[in-house]
Amino acid sequence: MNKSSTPTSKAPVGSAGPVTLEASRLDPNDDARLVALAQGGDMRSYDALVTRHRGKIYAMIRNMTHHEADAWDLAQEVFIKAWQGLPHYEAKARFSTWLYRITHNVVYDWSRKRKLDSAGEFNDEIFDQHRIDPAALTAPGVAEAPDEAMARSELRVKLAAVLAKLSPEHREVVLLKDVQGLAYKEIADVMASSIGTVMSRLFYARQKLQSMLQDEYHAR
Amino acid sequence: MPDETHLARWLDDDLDGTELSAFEATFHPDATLLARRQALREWRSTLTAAIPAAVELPYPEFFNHRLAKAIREIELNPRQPHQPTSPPSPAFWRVWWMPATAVAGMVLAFWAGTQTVRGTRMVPFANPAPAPVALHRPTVYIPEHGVDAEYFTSPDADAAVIVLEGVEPIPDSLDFSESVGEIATDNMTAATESPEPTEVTQ
Repeated sequence: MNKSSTPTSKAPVGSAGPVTLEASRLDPNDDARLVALAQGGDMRSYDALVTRHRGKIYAMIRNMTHHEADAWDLAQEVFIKAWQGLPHYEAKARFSTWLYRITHNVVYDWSRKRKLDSAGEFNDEIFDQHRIDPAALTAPGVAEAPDEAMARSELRVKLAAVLAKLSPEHREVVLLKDVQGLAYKEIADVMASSIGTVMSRLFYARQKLQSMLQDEYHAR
Repeated sequence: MPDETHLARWLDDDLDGTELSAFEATFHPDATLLARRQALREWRSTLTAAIPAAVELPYPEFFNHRLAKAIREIELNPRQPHQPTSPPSPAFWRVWWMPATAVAGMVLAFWAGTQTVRGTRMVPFANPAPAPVALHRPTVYIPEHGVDAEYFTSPDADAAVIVLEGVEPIPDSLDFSESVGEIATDNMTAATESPEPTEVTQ
């Protein structure tokens, strides 16, 4: 990788037009090539990288924060920080893993700031979050059969509710492993911890989730 | 028997390539372990069905456009770190800079005070220094012999005093009202040129 190169705005981001998620998935190994081009100052390549990864980063942030409006802004912040750190990025890890690492930092900073801002205040979200569907989408989804959609929606609500009850560390490890499909080593890199810690957190997080899901079913 | 880490990774489908081949060459799992691995696969499948790994965010084109704008601003102004969510709040300035400025001001005032005291002779309140004498002293003319005159002035008090020693007592029959207008017009001159010296304050 061209570590010493500094990205410059030789071409405006987005000038190549939007790159759809589907198109970007045609060649999943393109990240390395796009990163190399972006490190050389090619803003169109960075735009393509953003388009390829924004959906996963946004989903991860939204599932971590349960705050849809802030998730959009936080995703912006992740890609701005990624741009600023691009000259220092070395291909030791996958680009997506590196993005998850930045996402981890951005979300935890946001969380800390929120705790400071709301110290001593009544936080009604704590009490209302189980009544609101946290997985509600603002973008239209894919059409499903009504019964499938209902079952899926119901499960999504339950899972989102029990996920929200987990600690941030347990929630993150479940999302990274079971939803995003990262390897143990990658999760350890993202969360700046050991593989042993990741395994331990994953074990307890799954145990808690399954226990809470059973309680949810019994409560009905 | 494999170590716990490798076993957990195998159960979670975390091994691949040569690692998986090497593991499976030496380890033959029983039905219980195979069932546990299958249960974990179903769990992941359930989760991914309910919680999508990628969600297209609202207004995706605007997302890229706004990001491009933010990056352009950073490129134009590289020294200022970008704050996409909100500009630096006044609260931050108040929390950090105002106390620092106040402390700096107090230290500066204290230092200036110590410097002033060092350069000035200390005067006890019990023995105040005599009023400063004006640099330009007027000449006091006294026609009578045996009378001494001393002239004091204080710019701070905006006052001048002439003290006459040896003047005869002023008789009670003297009508001051006749000389008030004269004193007011001639002021100091009236006092200094008076044939009968008296004490005049201004």
